[in-house]
Amino acid sequence: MTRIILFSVAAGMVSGYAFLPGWYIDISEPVMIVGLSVLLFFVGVELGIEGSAVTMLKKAGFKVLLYPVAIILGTLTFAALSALFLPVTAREAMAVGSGFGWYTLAPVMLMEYSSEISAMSFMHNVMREFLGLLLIPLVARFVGYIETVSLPGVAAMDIFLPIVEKATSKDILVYSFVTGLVMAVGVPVLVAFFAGI
Amino acid sequence: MELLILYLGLAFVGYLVGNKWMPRGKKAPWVTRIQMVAVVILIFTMGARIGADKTIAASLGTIGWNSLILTLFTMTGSVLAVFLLRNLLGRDKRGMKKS
Repeated sequence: MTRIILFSVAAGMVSGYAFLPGWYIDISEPVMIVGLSVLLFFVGVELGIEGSAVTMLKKAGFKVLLYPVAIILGTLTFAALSALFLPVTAREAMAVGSGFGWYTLAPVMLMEYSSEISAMSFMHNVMREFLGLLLIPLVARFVGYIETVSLPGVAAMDIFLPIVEKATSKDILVYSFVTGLVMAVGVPVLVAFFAGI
Repeated sequence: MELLILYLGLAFVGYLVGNKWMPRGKKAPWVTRIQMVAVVILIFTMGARIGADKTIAASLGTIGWNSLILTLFTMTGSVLAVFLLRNLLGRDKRGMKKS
């Protein structure tokens, strides 16, 4: 999956830079709207088939739900702080930070705002997932088990479940799934909000 | 705003379709395949627009470093937020109730 994504973005950049005709760039906006519509519809279908999302949320209880809320607040606060050291506004930094590692959704949405912020968003989200992978064992050992689920963001709900379980314990899986799910719902809402699109 | 409502609405309708009309719990590889095709088209198009913008293509290195700084900040903020909440809710390092 990751390899296909990196290949697609590289192929897109090279062809956009070197030879892609201007009309493709002109129609790129409707292409992305249709693409995002298809993607989100089928993300919904996948969750529906699995059927455990709503059950898990109900079972988890109120206190577990507080974790993703805290993670979102922590992410956004520190994204705003990072703007002090970066050539972007606090709002732009928060729009990028709101991707929560969902590199196939957030940067495409931000294309409508600016290509530069979109590029930053893509790199940030890939890095968040990749660094999550590297840091989960360290954070589990030196900081705490529940803290690990905050690292990757949205991917905590699916592909990171076995990684979290291996570094922590079975009891942490519910935190991981609920965190990823709540953050996933937050991505389109918060990205659109901070970018004003 | 209209687009956001469209996207969230479609995800919700998709959830209902998957939940009501498809065999529960069965893997549907074609759903994953359609997602994959959509993702490849989206990411390729995004890359093409970044590549077509010569000023951005030239400053990708700087953008990368800036992204790394932002990433380190957000991940620190996330871990810190959980650490504070976990202690507030009286859970130990392993996520168990403190006795």
